Amino acid sequence: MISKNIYRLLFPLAVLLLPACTKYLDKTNPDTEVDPSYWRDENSVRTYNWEFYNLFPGFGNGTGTGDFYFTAFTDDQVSSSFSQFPVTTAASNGDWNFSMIRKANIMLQRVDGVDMDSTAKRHWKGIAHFFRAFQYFKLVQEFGGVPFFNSPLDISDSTQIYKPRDSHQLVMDSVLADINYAVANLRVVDLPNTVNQNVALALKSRICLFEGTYRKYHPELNLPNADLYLQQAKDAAAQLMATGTYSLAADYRTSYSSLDLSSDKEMILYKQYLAGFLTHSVIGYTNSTTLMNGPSKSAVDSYVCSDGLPIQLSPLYKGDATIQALRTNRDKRLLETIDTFYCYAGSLVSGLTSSSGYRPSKFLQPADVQQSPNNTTDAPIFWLAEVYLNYAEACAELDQLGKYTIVQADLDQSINKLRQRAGIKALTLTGPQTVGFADPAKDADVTPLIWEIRRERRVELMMDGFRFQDIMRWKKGVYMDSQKNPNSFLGARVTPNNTVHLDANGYIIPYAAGSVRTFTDPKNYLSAIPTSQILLYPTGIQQAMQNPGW
Amino acid sequence: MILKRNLVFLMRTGLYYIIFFTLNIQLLFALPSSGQNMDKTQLTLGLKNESLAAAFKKIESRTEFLFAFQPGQVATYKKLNIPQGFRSLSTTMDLLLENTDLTFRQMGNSILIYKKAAGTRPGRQWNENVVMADTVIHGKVVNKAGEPMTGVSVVIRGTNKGVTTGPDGRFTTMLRAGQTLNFSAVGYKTYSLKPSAGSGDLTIILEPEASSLNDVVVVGYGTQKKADLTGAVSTVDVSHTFESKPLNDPAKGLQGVVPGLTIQYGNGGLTANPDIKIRGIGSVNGTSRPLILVDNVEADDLTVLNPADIESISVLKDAASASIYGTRAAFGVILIKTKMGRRNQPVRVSYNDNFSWSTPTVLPDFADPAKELIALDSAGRRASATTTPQLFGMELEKIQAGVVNWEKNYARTNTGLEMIKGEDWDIDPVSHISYFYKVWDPKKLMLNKYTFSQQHNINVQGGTEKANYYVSGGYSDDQGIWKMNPDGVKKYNLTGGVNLSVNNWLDLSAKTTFRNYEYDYPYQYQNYWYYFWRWGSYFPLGTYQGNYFRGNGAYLSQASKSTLTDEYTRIDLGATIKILKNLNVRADYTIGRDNAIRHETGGPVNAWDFWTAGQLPLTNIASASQNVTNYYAGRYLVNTLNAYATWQFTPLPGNHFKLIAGVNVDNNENINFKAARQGLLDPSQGELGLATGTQTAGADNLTSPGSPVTNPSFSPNGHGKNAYAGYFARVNYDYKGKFLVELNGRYDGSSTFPVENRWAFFPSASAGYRISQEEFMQALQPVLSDLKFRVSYGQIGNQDLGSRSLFLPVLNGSTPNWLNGGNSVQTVTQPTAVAGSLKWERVKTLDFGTDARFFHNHIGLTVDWFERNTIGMVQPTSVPSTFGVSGPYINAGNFRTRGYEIGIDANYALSKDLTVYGNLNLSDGKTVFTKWSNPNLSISNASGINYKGKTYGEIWGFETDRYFTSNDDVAKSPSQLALQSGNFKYGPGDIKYKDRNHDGKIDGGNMTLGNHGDLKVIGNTQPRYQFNARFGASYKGFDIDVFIQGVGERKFWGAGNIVIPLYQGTDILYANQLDYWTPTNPNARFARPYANNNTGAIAGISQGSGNYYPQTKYLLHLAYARLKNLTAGYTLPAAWLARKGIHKLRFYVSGENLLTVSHVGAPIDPEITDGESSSTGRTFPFSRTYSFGTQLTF
Repeated sequence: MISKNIYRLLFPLAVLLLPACTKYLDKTNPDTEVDPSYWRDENSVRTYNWEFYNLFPGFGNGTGTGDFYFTAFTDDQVSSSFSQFPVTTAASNGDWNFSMIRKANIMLQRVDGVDMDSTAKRHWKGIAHFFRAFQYFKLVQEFGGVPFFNSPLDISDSTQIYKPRDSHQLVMDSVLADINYAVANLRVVDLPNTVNQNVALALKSRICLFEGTYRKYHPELNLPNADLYLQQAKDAAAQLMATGTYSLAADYRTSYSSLDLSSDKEMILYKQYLAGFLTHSVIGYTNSTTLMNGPSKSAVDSYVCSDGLPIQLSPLYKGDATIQALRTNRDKRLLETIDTFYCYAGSLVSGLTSSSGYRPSKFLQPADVQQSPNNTTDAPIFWLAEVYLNYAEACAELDQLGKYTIVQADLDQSINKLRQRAGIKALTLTGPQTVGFADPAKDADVTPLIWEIRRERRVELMMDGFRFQDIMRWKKGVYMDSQKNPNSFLGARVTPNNTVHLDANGYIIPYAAGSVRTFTDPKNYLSAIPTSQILLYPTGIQQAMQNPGW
Repeated sequence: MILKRNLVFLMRTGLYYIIFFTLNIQLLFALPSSGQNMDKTQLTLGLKNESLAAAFKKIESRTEFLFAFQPGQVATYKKLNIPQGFRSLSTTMDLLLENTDLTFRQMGNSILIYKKAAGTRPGRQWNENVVMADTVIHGKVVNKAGEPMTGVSVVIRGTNKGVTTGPDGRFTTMLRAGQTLNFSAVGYKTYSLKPSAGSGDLTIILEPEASSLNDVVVVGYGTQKKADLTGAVSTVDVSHTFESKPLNDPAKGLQGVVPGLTIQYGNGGLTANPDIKIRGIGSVNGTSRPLILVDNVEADDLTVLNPADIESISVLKDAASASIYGTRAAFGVILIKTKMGRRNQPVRVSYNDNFSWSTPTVLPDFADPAKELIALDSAGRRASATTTPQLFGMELEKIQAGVVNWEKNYARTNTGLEMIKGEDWDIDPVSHISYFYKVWDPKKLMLNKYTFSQQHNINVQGGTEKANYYVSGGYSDDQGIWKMNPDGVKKYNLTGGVNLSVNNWLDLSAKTTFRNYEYDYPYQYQNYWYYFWRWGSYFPLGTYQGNYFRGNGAYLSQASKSTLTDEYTRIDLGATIKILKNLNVRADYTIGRDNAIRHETGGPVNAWDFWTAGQLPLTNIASASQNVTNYYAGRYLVNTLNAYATWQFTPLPGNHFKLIAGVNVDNNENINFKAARQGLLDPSQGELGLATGTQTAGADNLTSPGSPVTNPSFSPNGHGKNAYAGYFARVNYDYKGKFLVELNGRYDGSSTFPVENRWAFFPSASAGYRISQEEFMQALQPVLSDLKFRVSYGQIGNQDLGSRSLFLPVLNGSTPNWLNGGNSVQTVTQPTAVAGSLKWERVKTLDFGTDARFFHNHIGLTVDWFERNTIGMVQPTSVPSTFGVSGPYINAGNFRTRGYEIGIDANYALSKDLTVYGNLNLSDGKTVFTKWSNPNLSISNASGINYKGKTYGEIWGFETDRYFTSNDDVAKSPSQLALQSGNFKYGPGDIKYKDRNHDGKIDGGNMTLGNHGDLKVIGNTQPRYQFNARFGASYKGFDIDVFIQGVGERKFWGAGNIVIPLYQGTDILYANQLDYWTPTNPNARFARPYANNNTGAIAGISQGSGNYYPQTKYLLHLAYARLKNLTAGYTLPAAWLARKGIHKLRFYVSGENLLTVSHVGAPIDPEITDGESSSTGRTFPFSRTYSFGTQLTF
């Protein structure tokens, strides 16, 4: 009976064996990329890498804000609305963000397994190191020491997840190691306008200048090796300058108002904007009826006259009774940074109005099709001017520390090139830390040389997003204190009208009476760690998580 | 020859001692006085080594007589020799049977051959005694309608001997004196009869049995007798649930029918999606939706079915019954079996139709604007503290005066749609603001009082000995409620199936189903319901110079028809292989294909745009992005294979085993995308090629009508694939039908999970003790006819966690803010974090049940108590930002649902003509968190904030005390300052909340369990004490059926103006909301008006502020009892119809939602919880429906 029916069993047996093939369940959604199968070849690594570039805001995205013009919380600009140093501790802060660090750490773990040659692997690991350094650098600038991770965490690893902050020193030393890896391993040339060895050198000079001066000017933190960082800042800048790849554009404003920076020899890395793909609104915000963040009196006064002398010393200075007088015989960069008219409350020009009366004109581009949002001028990210400034400042600081003797050639191959382009006389070393004159407005804490180099940095990078951190690393928070530096809270000297508030001398007071900005030392040198984050930690270490003064 | 055919049929059925006769037998056991006489019939016959059977054949060919015999008894006689000769038939038979143990008897012109009794002599047995001992009984079995019943078993009590009725309902059998015949059929009460000599041709009428213990219940991969069930399984009374009703969606019919099965519709729209749950919420993740199987294949969307094609529905509620279906059955299973013809059934053609008219159950009433505007004005003044409150620039004061003037001077004359400037409306010469005064009846103008629907179904079914078949077609057409451009659903269903016996061991079956669903609706320029209810009845609904003002009228009148077309096709192929007696294998392969296309076209809409400042423009009020044509396409495919073997054996008497083992594999794929193009050349031809603007394409979730809103298989990027596989086995053991044990196991795999976590084993067990079968219980018969205790326990994994990507480290695509070489680049995010420890959620169910039947099975009682623990519910972890990505999901939470279901049914035939029946069901359950990670024990009415001890669905709010009577009263009362926001200041006529914690102030504390201020749990959103009752009776041809359904307790805190007066600005007050506090109306329903009561000062509780924080006074009560259906029918007498060739003809009338008892507290239906733009009640209303129809079978 069974034998006769055995063939009847074959079919059901075959069926029962079907799902034994476990492959049957290997159905991932075709529209989903899953780790680690995602990591196939160099292309997938490159695709993964592009998200890091979101760390470069440039002029901003869409109608959002960027590094330039919008970073108005300095002594350079008076914001359209009064802004104070935070007094209370915020529950959350979007800058407390470690997402790109985990992203880089995952990349570092995966690159070795990808099918590509070892040079390529070193390049891409260099990219991960570069952006990890960049992100940690920004975190330390704002928060001081933060937890440092060099591998992605698993949820089971609670000691790592809840580990206390690492020291400023440890994190920045790690950042230096990261950027050094990047410099050593990145390709000299990858795709055009991507992170390469030169970009890494530019970042290195920025990071090391920051860290060197920070360690020097914040002795209370007892951070060692300020000189070593300054040396590395100088060396990185020098190495970059020595490549001969880059040279200054003929005009200062080229960097800020070009529809296309691709052939600009000054650019080390720039952010491209194209209609329909990616646009910004810097021109829109400085060309609309929205109240603009105008440059402050303090900023405008810091521009020298064409003889290279500060306004209080120069016989060429014509005063500021009118904008025409103000613009006479001045640093060309001032002429390109502010417009030829005052516009302010009650005295609008074509609907334009600025908090300080000065209309920022540095970013305007008449050829841009859309004058309000959807602007397409390219934004500089790393460019030669900053490298020159880094070089000069590092030389001067090293000189002051006695680790190096600055020579005229150091100035001539760096900031004097910028001064030449700006139409002002070169800076001349006349002795140790001296330049032949002393600005009466000079901060008594610094030498005339360093004062002039800092001035150079301020005016060259006016409204470019550097000033706030420069003030912090120099430990000069008082520059932003409205009572200790009143000029940072004043605008242009204008004709009165019924609307605008003027001080006794006729300068615009942009804010309501009683608006006072107070800088608290040391509290305001670092931002508060957001309290909602601290609450997630074991109570034992919560206290130590917070920064001093908060 | 009829007799011969019947004889063959009889032999195939393999019954003993059965003789089959022609229909025209007149005599029972009389002598062969009529017809042929064996003695007088003569023939020539000679045999040489021939068989007895051959001899019979020769005799049949030479005489009028026919033989009835058992081949097995006759086969042994193969070598008969009779000399050639001319003899009488009697003599010939004597000769033939001389040396055998057989004897014969004449019955009419048939000759019966049978074994002779021991000791009798061979040959002829023909005397009165023998005849009296073996009485021949014949007759016909019919149902109450007089229809002949096929396949009824007619068995001699105490023996296993019997026959079944033929296609015409006829039977013939033999009986000894004193023996009783039992007539039994599935679904009918067994009828016993002790025939006596001279009974004549019998007509037996079988009564249907409402709940027969012999009923066969469809369970996972098989069937079981109801008496043998050990799990918690409910069945649906299909005929009462689906017949005689205007239904195009089976889920609507199932609502409230099965205890423990909750089906909720949040609105009354034609395409509303049901929320289906068995025994309440199963997990905080996913949909907690039961697995719905149509003929063993998953069908998420029940609208693919024509209710008329449903044969049976079983609901498997506990883990023990459901676990055989694996992870997708974590929250129970609904098993639907579709109709198939029966073997040996003559062709039956059935046609039925239904015509129905629906009208809304509850709608808010618009207020008289003359009164409404006074309140709006004062509310606006109070809220803004500025000058005169306005709406679109219209000063409310001025409108009010204008309305009063209009009502006085123009109400009687200005009744047209065209609005007369200067009378019905005007433009302010200074501000250019348009003012509207004319009072409309928006409901009458915009909505149909009655909407019409119709359904037609036809099916043909039947079967021969080797095949049975079922072919059906259905059509339904439902119209929507808007007068302009109403929506509508047209549905076609086609089904054809056949079962075929290829040989004695192989059966094949094939079935195809096709469903076309077409939903037409106007292009959605705006949320029409939201705006319909947004402003008072003075807002302009008419035209000026033939053009509408901006509003629904303008949009709806100019909108193009949009269409959703969903075509569902399914093909099932199956085979049953009989390997051994009691061992067979069944295999089914099914493909299902669901293709849906949605096509929407906008375009410009011209209207007077009084929303804009300046001169009133006649302009296009549609946005540029609405000048578009959209195509959405969705394709869903499923391939399913089920194969299983069933083996029954009885190793020892009384010990019965049934084994099922098999495999189930299922894979599905979905593709969803959208293409759109702006800049239509001609809005009447909205095609992608006939537009010139921006084109976009992307993934878009196009769910099918009726499918769950969150489609778990949908992949956010537009293309998803899933596969499931499982090996399952079940052992049933019963000892004498007394002790029943069932063990289930399933080793289940799901592609939802990461590779290392894909497979898991889920066991379950259940047992029953049918104590009524014990000897000592027999004394209680017939009062306690049957009593069984059941217990079951099992666990199933839950794989529906909302999104499968929780388990996968997904790198999501994104576009960075960076260009490379003038091109945009694509990037991916870092992979999401997945905890290595992440596991399936496990659902463990314990169920105790008892089934009892009383008074000869007339009354039944079923009680189930269950506890379901959902273990390891996944929740996202809260990690510091330093982790670098959102915290992964971990198995952190548990909750427990405890509940019960009680069912009582009764069925009595009070007389030959009058039968009554009824049933009552009550079910309840409550879900409490037993574990949840919430260290602060924070509380919130938002989902996702849970804590240990929380009852799922709880609503936190204040306890209302009373109205403040004066400012002094406010000053002396506990401070409510913490509740004030905006310009709101508590004063007379405002709500005074109770200071529950006696701290002198009213607040929400820090919204934790430890400190929740004066808040308390004021209600729960989950339905409790769900009940239903059905009563019916039939008297002669008349029948009536009443179905009542309800929810005993359910609370709701809604949002929007219908449930919270002045929720949004000074938009509107409805008629019921004019009962507000004034010094002269201090006991009003509503507080003193204040505009803008939406967002309060306490984060974490539901919407509402000022006087309308969530609180006891204004909590909505969604409890209700409703006459869901009442049907009355009349069936024409069968005998009369039979003459016209008609088997059945019934006419009926039916009503849905005829009566409702509820106290919602707002003018909405108690079942409504939806609303457009989160505005409760601004949606399609529920309906009361009147219908009639015909059921015809011939």
